[in-house]
Amino acid sequence: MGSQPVIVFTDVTKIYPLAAGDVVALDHLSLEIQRGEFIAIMGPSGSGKSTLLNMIGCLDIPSSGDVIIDGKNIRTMTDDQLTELRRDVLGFIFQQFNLILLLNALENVQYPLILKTGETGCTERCKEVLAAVGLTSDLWHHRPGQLSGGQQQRVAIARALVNDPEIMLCDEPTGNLDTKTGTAIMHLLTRLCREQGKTIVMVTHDPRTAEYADRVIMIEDGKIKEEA
Amino acid sequence: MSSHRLFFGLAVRNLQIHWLRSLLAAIGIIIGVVAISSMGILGNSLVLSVSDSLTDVGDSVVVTPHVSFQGMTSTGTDKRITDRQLEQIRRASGNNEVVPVYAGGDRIRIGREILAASIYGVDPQDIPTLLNLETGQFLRGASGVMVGAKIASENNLAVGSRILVGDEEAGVRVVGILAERGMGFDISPDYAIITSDQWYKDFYDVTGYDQVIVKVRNLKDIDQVKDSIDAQLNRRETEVNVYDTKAILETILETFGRISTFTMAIGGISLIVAGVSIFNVMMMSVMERYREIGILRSIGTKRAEVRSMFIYESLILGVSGSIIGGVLSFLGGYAAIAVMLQETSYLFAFSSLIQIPYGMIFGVATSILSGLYPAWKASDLRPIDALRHE
Repeated sequence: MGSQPVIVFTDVTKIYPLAAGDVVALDHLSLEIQRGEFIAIMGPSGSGKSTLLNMIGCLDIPSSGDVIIDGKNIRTMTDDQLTELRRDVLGFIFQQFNLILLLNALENVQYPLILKTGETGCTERCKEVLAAVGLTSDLWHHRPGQLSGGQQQRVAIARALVNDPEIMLCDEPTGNLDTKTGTAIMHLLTRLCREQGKTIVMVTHDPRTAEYADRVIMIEDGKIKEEA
Repeated sequence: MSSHRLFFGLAVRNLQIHWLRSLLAAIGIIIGVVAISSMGILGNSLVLSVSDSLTDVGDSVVVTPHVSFQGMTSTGTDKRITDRQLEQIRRASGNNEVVPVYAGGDRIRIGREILAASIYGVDPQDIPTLLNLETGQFLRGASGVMVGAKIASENNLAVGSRILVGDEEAGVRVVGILAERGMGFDISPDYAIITSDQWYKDFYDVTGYDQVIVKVRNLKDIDQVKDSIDAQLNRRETEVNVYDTKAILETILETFGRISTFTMAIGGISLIVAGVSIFNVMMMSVMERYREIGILRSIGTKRAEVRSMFIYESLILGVSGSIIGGVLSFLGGYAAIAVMLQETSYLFAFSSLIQIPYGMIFGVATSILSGLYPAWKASDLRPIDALRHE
């Protein structure tokens, strides 16, 4: 585990103005996550854990307070700068996999690499990553609809890894998988953290999944209730 | 550069997946391009056809007696240009050639055929100034006539043929056949008989001329000559009408040019409809792909890149539709002028063929314009909102 914080939340509040009244999703929340840490965020529905993850992922910005990702304050960044940060520093793994249905497995992994490098002939790196996450080569040219949930999640993890991101964000990564496949995916994530030093922030409802993390942060009503 | 290839590829795949919708949108553009180009070809061919049938003589000032209309009746229809007025016209015209002309129409008989023809009476010395000879010779004295190219060819007239003129059936012999000249604003000799002024005057017992033609040597002087005649003869009251053939020719061609533009505009309406269709297809595509746009944005796709993907889609529809439309426009234009003008050679004129690339450019531009708003709409989505979309 490293010693430098790669994610810093300082007194962050996020308010969603609604007709029925403002909803406070994050309430003066402060948090530091060190480089190479594996963090699990837990909490009941509506507690603010997804908002927290979206903010780390630069998909949302705080109403007040500062969010520093890899040394950059996301409140002062333009849309293009935030997009580049997502592309180069962050890797996303979603519960519903969120692969691009028009592209096959290899092309899905190639996509962010082409965005970053502008090179279309970068298949070797993509094949390496696909092999590393355990997707056999006979499946590389299959479209997402032709793959099982576990296979799709492996493609999603390969896509998240291909640009060698500092931080990996996982939103219920085993939520749509059977227990056996879920366990395999969690082993893969743990290995990425331990062997490659990736910082992993994972939102989960499942206490067994959270057991893989170095630290578990419990959130309730937009505040950190407990850290373990 | 390569990321553009990536988004172009995505655009192609999306169009392929929704091939029927894409095909219908492209057909809209095809119809629009065919309509605008074919109408353009037809309009241009119309202008060319009119230009061909009109004489290219644009160097004359024509003076005719003034006819005024009062209520439902006209006065002065029997007016003619007198010798005094002719002298005034000569003075006003300076050293330009002035040709007085008798003009009328009569029944003629050629063999057993009886038909109507225009008859002009011109001083034989002035005929070479106005007309060109095809075969035979120009008139030399009061006897004999010259005939127009079309009346000659359609009635097998040759030098030496005999024609009977009027109810009296006065016999005249053809001494020369004129070169084809087209419809003119001064005289139209193609279906006419040209006699000497003396023969016409004696035969029809008229005094005074029906019109006076001034052949202006230097085209720059045409307005000055026209104004000078007007000032001389119409000082107190309007005695004569003065007009120049150049201005009439220009006005006619301008009018037909406007008709051509109007027909193209009618074709343009179908292109607008096609544009609405592409707009609709693109908006549907954006709405169906909210979540996909969210995924693309979340993994590092910039707004401009999302925009380019949707613009590529409309561009592909526009370019493919326009290319097919361009090819079909050639056939459509051919059919249109074959039916309307019975003459297809105008299709191969540069000014006709250029209507096809014009139509194609309009087709592509319409497609891109139709895709701009949907593309902007797609790129403006917040990734977090797009990801939440079900």
